[in-house]
Amino acid sequence: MALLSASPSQPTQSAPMKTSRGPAGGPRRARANPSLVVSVAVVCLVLGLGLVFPVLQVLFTAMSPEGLDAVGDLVGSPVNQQVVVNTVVLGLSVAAVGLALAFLFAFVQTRLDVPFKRTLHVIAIVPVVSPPFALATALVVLFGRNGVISQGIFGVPYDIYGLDGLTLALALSFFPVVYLTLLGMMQRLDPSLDEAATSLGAGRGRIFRTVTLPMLLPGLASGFLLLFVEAIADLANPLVLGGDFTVLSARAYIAITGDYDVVSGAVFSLSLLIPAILVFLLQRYWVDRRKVFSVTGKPTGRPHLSRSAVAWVVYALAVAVALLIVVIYATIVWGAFSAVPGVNNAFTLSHFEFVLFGIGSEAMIDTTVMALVAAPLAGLVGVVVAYLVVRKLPRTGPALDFVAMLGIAVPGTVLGIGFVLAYRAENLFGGVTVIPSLVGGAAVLGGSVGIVMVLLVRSMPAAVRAGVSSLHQIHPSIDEASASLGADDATTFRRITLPLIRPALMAGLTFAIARSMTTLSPIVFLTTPDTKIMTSQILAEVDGGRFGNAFAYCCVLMLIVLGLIGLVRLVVRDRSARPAPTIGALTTTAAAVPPTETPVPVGAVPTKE
Amino acid sequence: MVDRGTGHVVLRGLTKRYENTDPAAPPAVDGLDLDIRAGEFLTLLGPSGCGKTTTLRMVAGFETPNKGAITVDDVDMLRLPPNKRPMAMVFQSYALFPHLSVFDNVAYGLRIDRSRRSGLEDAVEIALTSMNLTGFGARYPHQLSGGQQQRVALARAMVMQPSVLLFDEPLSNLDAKFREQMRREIRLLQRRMGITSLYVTHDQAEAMSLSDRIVVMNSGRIEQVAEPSEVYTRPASVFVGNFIGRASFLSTPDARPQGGRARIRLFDRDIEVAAHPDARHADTALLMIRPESISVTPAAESGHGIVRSTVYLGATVDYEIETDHGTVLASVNDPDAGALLEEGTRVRLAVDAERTYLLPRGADTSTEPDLEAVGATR
Ligand SMILES: Nc1ncnc2c1ncn2[C@@H]1O[C@H](COP(=O)(O)OP(=O)(O)OP(=O)(O)O)[C@@H](O)[C@H]1O
Ligand SMILES: [Mg+2]
Repeated sequence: MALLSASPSQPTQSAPMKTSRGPAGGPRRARANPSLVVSVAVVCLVLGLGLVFPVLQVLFTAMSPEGLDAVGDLVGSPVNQQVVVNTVVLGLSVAAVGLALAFLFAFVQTRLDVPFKRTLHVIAIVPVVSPPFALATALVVLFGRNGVISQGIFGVPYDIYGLDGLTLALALSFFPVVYLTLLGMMQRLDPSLDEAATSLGAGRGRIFRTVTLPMLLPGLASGFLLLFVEAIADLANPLVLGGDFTVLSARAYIAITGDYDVVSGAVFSLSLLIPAILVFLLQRYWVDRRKVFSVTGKPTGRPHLSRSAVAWVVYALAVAVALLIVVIYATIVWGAFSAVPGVNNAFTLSHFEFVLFGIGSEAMIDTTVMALVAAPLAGLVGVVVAYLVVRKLPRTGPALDFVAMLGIAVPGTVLGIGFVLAYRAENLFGGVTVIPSLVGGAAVLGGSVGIVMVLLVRSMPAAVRAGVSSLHQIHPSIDEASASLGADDATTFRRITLPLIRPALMAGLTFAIARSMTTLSPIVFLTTPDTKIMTSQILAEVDGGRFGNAFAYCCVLMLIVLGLIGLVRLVVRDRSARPAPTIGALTTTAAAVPPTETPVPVGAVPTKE
Repeated sequence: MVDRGTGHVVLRGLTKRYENTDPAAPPAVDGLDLDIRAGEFLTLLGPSGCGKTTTLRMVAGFETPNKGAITVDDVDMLRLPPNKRPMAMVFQSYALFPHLSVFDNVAYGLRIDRSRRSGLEDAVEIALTSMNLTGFGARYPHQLSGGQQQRVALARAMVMQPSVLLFDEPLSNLDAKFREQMRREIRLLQRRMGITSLYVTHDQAEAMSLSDRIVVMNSGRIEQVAEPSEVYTRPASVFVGNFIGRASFLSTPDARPQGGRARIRLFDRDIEVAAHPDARHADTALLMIRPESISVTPAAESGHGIVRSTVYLGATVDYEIETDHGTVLASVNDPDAGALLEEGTRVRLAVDAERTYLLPRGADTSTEPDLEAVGATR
């Protein structure tokens, strides 16, 4: 037929000739291909140097004779015991309050027939882009000893420092991610289950107790665990709001930056690592297993939306919280323009001058540049890890996935101290410098290499999760078709896989940018006079009581993050101007790439507006 | 058929046992020996789970066999990764790249092979035209019907002019009418291009109409390799006879097989039938009768059997008849709808001796058909 006769120049022998180029060896050899080896090597190098080696250094230091002394000190001293108790109490109270907030907002969205739900949704996710300190500092201005609200309006000398203030600040900072997860789950709950229960004679309250709640249990459990870990690992808020209420992360920070006692720092941070890893394991091997069974497939019908008296009470509660968030953010913006926020409210531009043209400008540029270097790397490496895990390494994949996800499970304090321990001095091997100093005054490129590594390791897990979940939705035969048409693995990855998982990659990238710009706890140990990072600059301003400058920093930081995210979206939208493969509900091929569901990994930023 | 002289595929002792499967169970593919002639259209046919897909994927390179050899034109395939093998595969799910247009899908393989980039546009256009896809080049897969998607998948594989084409149930997602049409087109195209084709299906009609030869598989092993007509009329085993088409198997203890023939007394007549070489003893042999090679006439009294069920299908009517030898299925062509035999009617039967075949029961009892159910279900 025409297909053949039209291209007579094509030698029919060409195909068999192709075969003679293959490498020699037995059947097994077909598996070992260079691009696979290279990518595995690169991934192992990144994870090994950026995560495993520093964390092991923390472990070794804690196990050293001095370390064991410090351990004895930690266990023996009543002061330190109190610190441990404080940390656990804080974790639990943040987890409880945060979970309640998340559930409250998800419930209002999915179960109530009330106005302004869309507005409530947007307000609830605003805290995700907030830099550290923003919330805490605003709370101090509003409810501190000279609080604008506590003192100014009610005239009570309320003291927000301590457990109550910390709980509020941390719960408000971290509940949005849990809210998004719960919202997704509750939207996917099949209303026909409710209908079935109703037809069996159950009332509303009973249905909620016996049907809805049990199905949400895994989501609630994982939300609780997530909030707990985030709360105990957080450093910024305890530094501002802690007062006499000392927690482990702050203790470790003070040990290192105040007492120059790296060993104690390592021991303190290690006691953070253990619960964090336990929770991570619990989440991974217990909660995630259960999820599969609890949410049914495609929802049918519409849920019943309530408008009862109880509903209005619940709604009022949510609105009150939303108002608080609005007030806090208004305070941040207003404070950035006030001479001394809460004390002298004269309008001034001096804070912005300081940030935009003074010392701050350097930090602004350094931070943005480093985020722009780290984020795309994190996105790319994360997606490569996901590809290896899902497609190429059926047996070792889970272990690789596990290590990559540790990047987020390991508390920032631990990672930061690990970097100090691992890379402050040069790493010599047989008298030759293998890795130059990456941290401290003598570090190469002013320590920026170390900082970028930390940012990379910290933001990669989100890209891995996003990549894994979207790769699972691409049928393997798509890859095989490409191979069968002559493409090697690298070509298939570039031409087929990457374009298909681009939405997930973008979600990961967006998250990585936000995370890189706003992260504090590992970075604060790594900054040098040559490399200024905005978050640690904010810390200095807050420490010095210059709240106006801190607020201006926060505003600028938020604008940069939002700007960069907007830019990424713009670029993506532009590139996919041609008909996007939004296939979803079509035939079998369509099943190859259903629209990627926004993955919400641990600590992720929402990608839906 | 154009003999291109390339694409001679040889499988020797091919064995695949999946990891993490019960080591006591037989392997998914168990010592397969197969010679696929250059330009031949060979179909792997068998019940679900018999190892067809596994075999195909080993040839394609997506699975590594535990034992055995695969060569194409005397080149060892096992040392080559899938993308270096001179083959192209058509997938059941079509596996079109959703982010590429129809044109780019078809051009994908040509772009990878540097030597074929010149004249790429023409080659793709011709391939699209030959698949009746003219004007569809700019569309995306999700803008096509299932049938059109399948054509694109075919065009994408054929444009590569591989030595061997591999198909894994490519038509199973199409509706019955369209399937028949695609069947004809695939056959025509393959004949003209003369590309060796290995085709997996569990649809016998597909296998019969497409194939030069059919390989009937059962739990990882080959039962028979033969032309479609031989597979139907002279099955190598009860399993094959039962799997291909419909048949009744009667035990005939008075059969006397000898030298490939056998004399049997059946329904008051002495007949001589062809016998399988292994059917040497009457008590281990079964007589296969196809439902269309038995005639049914109502009998006043006595007769050979009683009609137990009547199923009217329009073009034919199926009678299940209880006889002294067991239950027999008879299918009568072009029946008179007003004069169907009622259940309980006594009938006389006559079989066409040339169309029956004496088979050994087979050692493996698990593959033996349930004699009562055979006539009724198949
Ligand atoms: N990846 C796998 N891991 C373990 N066992 C497998 C795997 N794939 C197939 N099998 C098993 O191998 C056997 C052969 O499977 P195969 O897919 O080759 O069957 P098939 O003949 O193509 O069946 P079907 O007609 O249903 O497609 C089956 O028993 C199946 O359960
Ligand atoms: Mg199959």
